[in-house]
Amino acid sequence: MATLTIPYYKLPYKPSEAFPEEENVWRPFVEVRINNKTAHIDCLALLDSGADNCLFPAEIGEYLGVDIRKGKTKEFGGIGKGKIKAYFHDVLLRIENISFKCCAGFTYDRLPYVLLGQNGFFDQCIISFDLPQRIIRISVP
Amino acid sequence: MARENKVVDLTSALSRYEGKWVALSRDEKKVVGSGRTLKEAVRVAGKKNCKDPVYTQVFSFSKGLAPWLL
Repeated sequence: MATLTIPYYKLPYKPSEAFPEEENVWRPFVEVRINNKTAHIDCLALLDSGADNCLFPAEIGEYLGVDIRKGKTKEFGGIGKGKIKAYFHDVLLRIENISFKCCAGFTYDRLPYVLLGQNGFFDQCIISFDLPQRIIRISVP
Repeated sequence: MARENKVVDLTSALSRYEGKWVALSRDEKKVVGSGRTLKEAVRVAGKKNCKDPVYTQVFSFSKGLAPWLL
């Protein structure tokens, strides 16, 4: 079993009324290379255990030359208002020296980040989040 | 790649880029391009001949992140 140990990312943040001391935020990002047949792009992706699928902004697909609207669609909702529509395509994800086949959704709706979710990523590895130690471990059987 | 199992601290590097796309240098220590769109960030990074930068969106600094509550 191969295991990657990856650091958390510390990002800028403005203090809020509830947490006036909070001047930064820790988020579980991983650097991922997204490949299709002819191109690739390196991105920071959020490990989002609450997302059912891997979702990417359409701009990523356009950069890779994906014919986005030809993909099969799925709609997503959440705790906020509205829904988003994603078009699914096969891509290859690479984190360090490990590759993952992934059917990822590309959306023209608003996304905060590239999201790695349950189907397409978490279903291929074992992930532990150790925020106190600021590390993430990704193990691939 | 910043893979030395140390924290990756982007607080300073990203502080001026809220709401934008940015291209980070390979060591993820500095911003080598930015823009309102990915395309623009790619163009700016390309002008600086930065090889294989790492792209990311910079989310709001004043909002917590919860699924889809954008």
